[in-house]
Amino acid sequence: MAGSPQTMAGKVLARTSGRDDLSPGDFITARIDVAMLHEAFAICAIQMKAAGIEKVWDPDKVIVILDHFFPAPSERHAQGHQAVRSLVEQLGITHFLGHEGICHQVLTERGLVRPGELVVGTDSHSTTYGALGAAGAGIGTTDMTYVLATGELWMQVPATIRFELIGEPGPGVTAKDIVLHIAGTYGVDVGQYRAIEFGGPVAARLGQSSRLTMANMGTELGAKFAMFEADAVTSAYLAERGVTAGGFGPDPGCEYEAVYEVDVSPLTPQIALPHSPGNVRSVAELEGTKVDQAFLGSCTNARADDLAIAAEVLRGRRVSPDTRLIVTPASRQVALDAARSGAIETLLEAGASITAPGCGACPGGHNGVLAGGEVCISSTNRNFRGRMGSPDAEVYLASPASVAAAAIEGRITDPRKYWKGRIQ
Amino acid sequence: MSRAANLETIERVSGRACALHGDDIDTDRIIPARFLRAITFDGLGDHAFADDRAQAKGDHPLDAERFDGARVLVVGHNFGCGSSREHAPQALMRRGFAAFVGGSFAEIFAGNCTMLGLPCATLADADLDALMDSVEVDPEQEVTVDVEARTVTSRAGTVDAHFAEGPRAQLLDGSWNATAVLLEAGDAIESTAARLPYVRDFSD
Repeated sequence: MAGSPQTMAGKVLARTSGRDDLSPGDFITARIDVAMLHEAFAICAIQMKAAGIEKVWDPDKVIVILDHFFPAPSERHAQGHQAVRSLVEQLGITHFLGHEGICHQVLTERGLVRPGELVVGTDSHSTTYGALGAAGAGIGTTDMTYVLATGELWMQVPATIRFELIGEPGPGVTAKDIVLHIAGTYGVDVGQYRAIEFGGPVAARLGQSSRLTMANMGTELGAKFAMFEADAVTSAYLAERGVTAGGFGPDPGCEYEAVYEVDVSPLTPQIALPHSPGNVRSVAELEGTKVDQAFLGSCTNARADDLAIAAEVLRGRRVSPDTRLIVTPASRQVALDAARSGAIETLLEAGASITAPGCGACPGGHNGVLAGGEVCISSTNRNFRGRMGSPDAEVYLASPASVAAAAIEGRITDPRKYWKGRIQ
Repeated sequence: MSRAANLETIERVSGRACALHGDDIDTDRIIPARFLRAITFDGLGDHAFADDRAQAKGDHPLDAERFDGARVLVVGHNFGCGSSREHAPQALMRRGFAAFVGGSFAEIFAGNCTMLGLPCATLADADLDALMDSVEVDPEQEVTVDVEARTVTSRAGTVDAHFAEGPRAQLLDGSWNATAVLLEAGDAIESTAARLPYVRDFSD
């Protein structure tokens, strides 16, 4: 029996809970399609074994990655990684991709997440999988322990809000600028206890990388899931990865709690001031703010196209002696692609420091931690106080173009001086 | 799923309260990332709000003598936004907090609290302001977060509190404790798993 028309989140949860009909607020038990764990795998596996369970529910559906602190910056981290490797071996986990890069990037670029799937991860940026039409959510380690043992998780069905993206983005305006604008306009809790759908003509023409950027920041809007319709763009992206997948979208006539129309035509490059991703202005308003570090990294904006934009901005130019540019590719594959395209060479010639792929400086672990009083412009997702190091450091969030432009001048500046590319 | 009688249920939490003002208090403030390196949660209580407390130089509510021994943390809106790190509620729990009352809670934080048996009660703004004021003026008083009755009681009165229905049911029937549920259900899971060919193929 068919139930009422469902949003994308509703469809995923109806299928995974085996229910014909669902309403927001319903409390369900859902079957998990993919479970992703980074370093937190050690805690989860140990908790699970403490509960007397020696097997994960399906070793083929569990993916373990080392990304937050890889390569290990300290002996203690190395011991943590040692524990993870040993538990991966003991539990026979099929997909151990420990040294490949940031979890969300690796799962998507390898086609390990598919439209309509329910994916949980021990990382809040698991909303990223929504770029492929999957329902991705971050969960804590105790929740994940339960998932590892049973393959199931209790969930409350979220209401869905939809952002209809209309208009024509101007030159130099990227997906990051759009999602920062949304955070600034609607607030960092607009998605609290809700799923988000990004739709409309602009969403439809966005490439996969831009969709990943926006879905990734869904958690910065407070959302449980942040999803794009899986369409021909998605199918083509997955086909390149050897995965055949059809479309996946909301049922016609489904109910949204709210629909917000966002006209991107008047948008200029955006920037989030310390200490909240919702504290957003136009980059031009911050013109001249001195930066000690420019950081191009994270699951939000460190893919090959992001590095290519930075390389375009920096080609034939130099990083200002007043600042430093740290580039941390999102994955080994990204680093390889950027090496082959020449972007890495251009960035190195300009004076950038290229680090090993991974989360790097974004959560303040290593490879670019900030001192008190320092200012960083960053292509990442969070500028919470203390996130990238000292609580007395200041982090500004912006697009890769804005990060690269600031690296040239040692100061925040409108990137359109250097780059007038169109959103892809 | 079995609902064994020995699962711990949480009907209400009573104790002194601590008032922590401010909206959008994120997980990096609750427990800075540099404390996440451990593979267990031991000792995290010492580091709760480490950076905020260092900056406040002893003037942070968590260091205030008047809030010593508080079991209920009263907070603003969107408390716990940001990371999915369970270290955030773990750190607060290990510091002695057993319940939270606020304007609203970030979803992953609230979910993690449920798994630890820590109720999150949401109050209307006026009631929250009155509770904050009351706790500031009279920190000695006992505040009760009543999951069963859906209320919060202080000297400011007894007011209606909202608890998400699923988590509330889990607190009341004891199924919030996933580890205990797993222990109870262990045999059942094993036997279920043994029947599933895709699991069998991967074991031994």
